[in-house]
Amino acid sequence: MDTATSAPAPPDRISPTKRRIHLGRWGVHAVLLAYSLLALGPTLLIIMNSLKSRSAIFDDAFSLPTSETFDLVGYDTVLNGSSFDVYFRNSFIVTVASVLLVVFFSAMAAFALAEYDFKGNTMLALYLAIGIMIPIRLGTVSILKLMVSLGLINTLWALILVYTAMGLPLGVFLMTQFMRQVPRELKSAARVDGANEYRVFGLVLPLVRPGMAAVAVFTMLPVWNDLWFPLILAPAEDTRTVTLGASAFLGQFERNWNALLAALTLAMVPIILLYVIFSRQFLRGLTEGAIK
Amino acid sequence: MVFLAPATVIYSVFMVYPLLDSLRRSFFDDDGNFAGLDNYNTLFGNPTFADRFWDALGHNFQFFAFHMVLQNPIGLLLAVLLTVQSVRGLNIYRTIVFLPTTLSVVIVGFIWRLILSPIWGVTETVGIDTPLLGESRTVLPTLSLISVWQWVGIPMIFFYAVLIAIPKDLIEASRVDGAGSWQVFRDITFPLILPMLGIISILTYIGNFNAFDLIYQVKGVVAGPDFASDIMGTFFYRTFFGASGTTGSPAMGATVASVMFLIILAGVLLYMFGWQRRVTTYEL
Amino acid sequence: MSELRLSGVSKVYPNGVRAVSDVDLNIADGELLVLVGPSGCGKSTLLRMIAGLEDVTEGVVEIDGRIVNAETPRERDIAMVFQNYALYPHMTVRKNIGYSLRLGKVPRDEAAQRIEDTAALLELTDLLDRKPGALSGGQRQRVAMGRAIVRKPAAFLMDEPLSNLDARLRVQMRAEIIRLQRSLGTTTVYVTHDQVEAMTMGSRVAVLRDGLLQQVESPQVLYDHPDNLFVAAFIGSPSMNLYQGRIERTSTTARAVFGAHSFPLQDQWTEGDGSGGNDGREVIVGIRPEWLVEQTRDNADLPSVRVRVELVEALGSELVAHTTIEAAGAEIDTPELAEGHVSESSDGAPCLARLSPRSRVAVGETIDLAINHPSVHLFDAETERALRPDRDR
Repeated sequence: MDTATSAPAPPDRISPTKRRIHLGRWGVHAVLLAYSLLALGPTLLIIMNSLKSRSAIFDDAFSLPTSETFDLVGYDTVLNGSSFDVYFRNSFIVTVASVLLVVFFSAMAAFALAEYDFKGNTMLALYLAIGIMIPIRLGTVSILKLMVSLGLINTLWALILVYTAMGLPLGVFLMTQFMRQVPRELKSAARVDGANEYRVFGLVLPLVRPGMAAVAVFTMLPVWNDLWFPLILAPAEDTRTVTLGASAFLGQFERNWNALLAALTLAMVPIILLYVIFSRQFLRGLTEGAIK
Repeated sequence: MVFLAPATVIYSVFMVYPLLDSLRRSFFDDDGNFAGLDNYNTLFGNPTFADRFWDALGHNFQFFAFHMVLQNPIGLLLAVLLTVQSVRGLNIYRTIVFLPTTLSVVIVGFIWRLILSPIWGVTETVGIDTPLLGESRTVLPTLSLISVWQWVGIPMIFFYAVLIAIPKDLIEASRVDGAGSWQVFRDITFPLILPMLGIISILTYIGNFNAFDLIYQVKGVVAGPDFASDIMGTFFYRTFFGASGTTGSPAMGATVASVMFLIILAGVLLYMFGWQRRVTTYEL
Repeated sequence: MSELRLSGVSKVYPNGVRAVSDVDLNIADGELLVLVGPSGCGKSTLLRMIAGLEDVTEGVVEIDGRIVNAETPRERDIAMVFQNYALYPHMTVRKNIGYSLRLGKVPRDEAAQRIEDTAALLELTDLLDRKPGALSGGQRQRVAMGRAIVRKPAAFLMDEPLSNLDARLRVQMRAEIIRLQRSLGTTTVYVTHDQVEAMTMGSRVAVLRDGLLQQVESPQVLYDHPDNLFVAAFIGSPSMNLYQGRIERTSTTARAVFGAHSFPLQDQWTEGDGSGGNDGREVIVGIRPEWLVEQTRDNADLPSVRVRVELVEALGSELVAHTTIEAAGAEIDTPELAEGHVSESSDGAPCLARLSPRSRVAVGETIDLAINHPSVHLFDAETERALRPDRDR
């Protein structure tokens, strides 16, 4: 570098900008790390202690299991005689079915709302959107009566229908926003090419995939975690969801700490794993939905 | 129209109809006879109902206040930190911070029940020797904090979404104009996320009346001790189904639901006319 | 009064990408210097380093002899105009323009007066209380200018400020910016990828390629004497025709031979020691499209090339003939310049000619075009540097 001779020497003190940035950077890390500990700590404490013997749990809750304190007695108790497989299956069916129905039906409705200019379009959109603001739980009394008269009590269908109705308002609203972004030319081109409306819809669907992902994520969380409706509409042993099942199941072990900790671990580890694996997609869906 | 039918039908039958029907039922007694405002008179006039109702409503607003004061500002702070440029590993933090939100309330409730249990003694090592969930003075704040801990991911991710949508140009322009970090936040970032602040507040408000699960899980439907953790959700459930000796009444349940509906409606209207009208969302 | 000086400035990103390499550049007080280059050449990065929005990896940035490497943007006293204007959407035009004054603690009365003056200068007075969302593209652009002007900064930095405007407005704003810059006399660095903009606006133009400064000169010098093949191809529209060739030299004559054609070189090439030092040297021959004219009886003595007409674009003021010539085209490995130069078909290389609108050339014809220029550009085939008779013979 022959310029070094002609150029003034760079200042050899550390630049204040740099210093400030570094300080800031460490500050950011410190705060986020502290909060991460707060977010993870309780969960880790449970998992850690579920692997320890009873006396170790109480003697020193904050130490990792060692070869002396390692004990799987809790898991023995829990795995013998639990119906977690049934609960998981129920939750899975209910969640997947509700999410699929919400995504598909809201895509259809949103397509119509965004695409056709018919009388009452705005009114209908508003009608469907009101549900975003009103918790469906307030209608529980009548929902219960309705389900009784339809003979759907203690069936998964009761849950699926209610959750679908619950997810639709937000779903339609979000999908309409996404549908509006699909270029008009594309739909016109398809129609000119002789596509009927169903085909046009089929053509548009893949283009609003981010929207469908967002709706799916927004629907999934409250459905999977709901305790209220399973408790009221489907409390029978064979229709319990994980949430309700875990609630009742954990209740049985009020005094058996090994079993409690093991059961908690079993109930949350699959979710945590799923979440960690799909967190990128999951959070992207939430992010995209949030700004609509 | 084929496109609209499924959504409209399911929504109308399983959401709109029950909500309206609940309203209707609040004017009838349990046998289906028209009762006028009798149920409302009972709710507000009969001390066994009225005391519980006002207690629960008060607790609800405390619960709400905790979320507004802690959950949303913390969520905003985390979101701002997560969008700081040139810091690595932010995605990992984002994933971790959101993790509790994905856990079910049942699990969260139990985790904290165990951790705060005096039997285990974890809290004692940290220097707390009151049973936080056992005393009427501390039970509601503690439950609020647990709820904040679980749900902070929601405002975080919502704020995060608007923050990353703000063009980098704007921030740089303000820095060139002479703004420091705090001024950038005060003058540029904050006004642009103000609409989201409103949305999050109203969602917090509404969600608040859904906050049944955690309390049910940790304290049961009687929301002890001595109803100190009773909120509208648990009160509604007890009124409808009955608990510990009392029998439930669908008509009274519907009445409680209708009152909750009005309270929520008031909040939503306040938001729409008091806030949304004055706060413009800007195309970015 | 301010002068900008960059010495050995480089930018290396943490991932190892070298965006700007060792740039030395002096911008005199009151000068309008244009930084031009294809997208991704590092010109915006360089500008952002001057602004303080990007750390300087190596080298020194000076404003008025003051080393500013370590200063934040606010301390540097520079104003910047962004490509997307970056107007604050929640503030009125007045507040947008006045924001820097508010931060700079300029007294309220003075600030108000300066905002009014700036608005008057830019014909924004009626728009002061609107928000950016209610403005047209051209108006937004003027607000962005106003935000820079109101500060009376040491320097303006403009990052492709006109690229979002339509063609007509762009020409208009171009003139406007030149006028403002002249009357304010503020040192300005203007970044663009558009060489026409660069040529019309800059008192000097700096051409940047892959983070390396290629040449800094006045527009005319750049056009007449490009230092290397890249500058030659980048400056001028349509861009220069380039062919692989070599110098053939005898004791008395020298000529540049390309394909089936040749061009006699000026006397300088044959003077001197007569050792024939450049004989057989591999070169790239450059011919501007505007040098080519139809061969007629009047200019029969000029050197000429034979081409086949493929396509004729009549533009009214001129006629651009796309032809093929029997020669090997020269390639430049920058994608933006590739069109028109790389497509080497079997029947020769493309040759563009800007002809008089009265020319009667027809597609499919084979015609002779005279080279109506005393010299052609020669570049070393290896180094791509321009060969000058006085220097390289």
